[in-house]
Amino acid sequence: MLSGNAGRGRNGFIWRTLTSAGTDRYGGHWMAGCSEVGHSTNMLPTNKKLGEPCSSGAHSLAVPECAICLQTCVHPVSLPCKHIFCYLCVKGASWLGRRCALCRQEIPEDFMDKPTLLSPEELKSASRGNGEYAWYYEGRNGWWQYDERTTRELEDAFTKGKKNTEMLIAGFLYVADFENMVQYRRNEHGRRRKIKRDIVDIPKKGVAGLRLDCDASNLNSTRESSADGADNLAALGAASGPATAALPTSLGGQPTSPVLPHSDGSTQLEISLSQLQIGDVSGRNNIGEGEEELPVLGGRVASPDAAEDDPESDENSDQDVSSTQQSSLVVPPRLSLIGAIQPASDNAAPGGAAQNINVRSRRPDGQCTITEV
Amino acid sequence: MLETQHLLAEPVPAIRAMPDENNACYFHVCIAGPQDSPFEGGSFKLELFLPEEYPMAAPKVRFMTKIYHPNVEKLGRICLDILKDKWSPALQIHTVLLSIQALLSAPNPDDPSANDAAQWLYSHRYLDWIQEHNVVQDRRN
Repeated sequence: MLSGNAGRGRNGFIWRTLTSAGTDRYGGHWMAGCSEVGHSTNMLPTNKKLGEPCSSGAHSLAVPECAICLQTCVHPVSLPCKHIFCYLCVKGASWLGRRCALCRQEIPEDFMDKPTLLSPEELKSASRGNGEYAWYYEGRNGWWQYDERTTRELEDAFTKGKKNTEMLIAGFLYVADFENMVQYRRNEHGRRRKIKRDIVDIPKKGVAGLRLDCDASNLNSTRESSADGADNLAALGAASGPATAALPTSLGGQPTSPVLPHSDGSTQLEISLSQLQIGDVSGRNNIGEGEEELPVLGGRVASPDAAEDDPESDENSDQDVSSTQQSSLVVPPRLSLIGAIQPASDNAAPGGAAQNINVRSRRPDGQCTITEV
Repeated sequence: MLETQHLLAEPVPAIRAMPDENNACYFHVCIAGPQDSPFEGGSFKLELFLPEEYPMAAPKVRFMTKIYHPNVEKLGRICLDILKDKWSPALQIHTVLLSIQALLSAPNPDDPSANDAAQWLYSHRYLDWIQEHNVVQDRRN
């Protein structure tokens, strides 16, 4: 494959130099002419790195431009290679691969959790204000403030009375629907997230995926997606629903008394369920390859999508829990049993095989799934 | 779009890229055959389409004009690493077009899309042509 090295297009960072007159000019623009094109020059834009002097003189204030979005950096972060980008641009580019967009040097795995902000005080000032309005999007347990540029775009569209507007966040096009106050990816309408307009001073988790309380232990323990807005609102309802009961079992044996929410007829259901044979008759615990047994935490099952604000986690919410894969049966809320459950001892299949019972459960996203037990 | 404005305001020499009237993500491109290359004097039309994921994904570029080149398939698809696995979000439309222009100047016969064109490139006549025009081949990947 031919290496695409044809000439230097422009400075990766066009350093916008604010002179004393207040005008701005672009430094270091260089276009390769037809005869100047050669494979020896690097195709990727070269840029000034952190700490390099600006060409225009001592009196100027250098504001780097992001080589990805071609705009002034919003929450600029410095990569280990010292190249500077918007935090969200780096986040978007990291879906491609964890490499610098300019020099292709590898970015550490934990960089998105602990980014090197060029101006941490800017983050704090962005989250404070004197009564003016800001825009927020919902995480799993709190609200995140949009970055200033997106806030400006949203506010502009909202004040003009538009029904919706498009915005580019972390390399993905999103639609902000002002009628339903939700945002979703333009090419993926199913994944939605609530948005709101509120004053700047309200309690919030952070700005555009950057936590305000930069607690190192917090950052490591929970993965924050937040910035790319990929959470599913349906998944948010899962936490608020009634506690799901789990039946602890011995392998191939009878379950112990289940923990069920109090409701009419719960005693009868409890008796019926307690007599079900759950698990493999042969006494083996058939957890699928690469799958972990879900621990029971206080009557609730810790599901794989419990990670706070994980962008892709809601894809796991539709997975059926099968008795051949897990030794503990998850009883979803609002159980409706198809047909009467007979005790296993009454009409157990010969050879002690477990009886198959269809259980229809309503999942948090409103879909009904039929699980064979 | 910021990049389109840059393209129109500061056009790249020997390359013309105009956005489509109906679709801002579709560009009509014209590249002049580079000097001291077999394509000198020619004018090649290309189409360039920016996918929804751009700049996180590479633009789709294709030759509309038939061209006899070892790295261009019969349908006009271009074998160029920055359009595939070596794409970077820091690259832009004009840098991609400059790369394609450079590909016309220095074909890469070691990674051919069109085998017959690659054989022609290695043929005696073409090597004579290179010596006459004192063009240095760069066969690095």
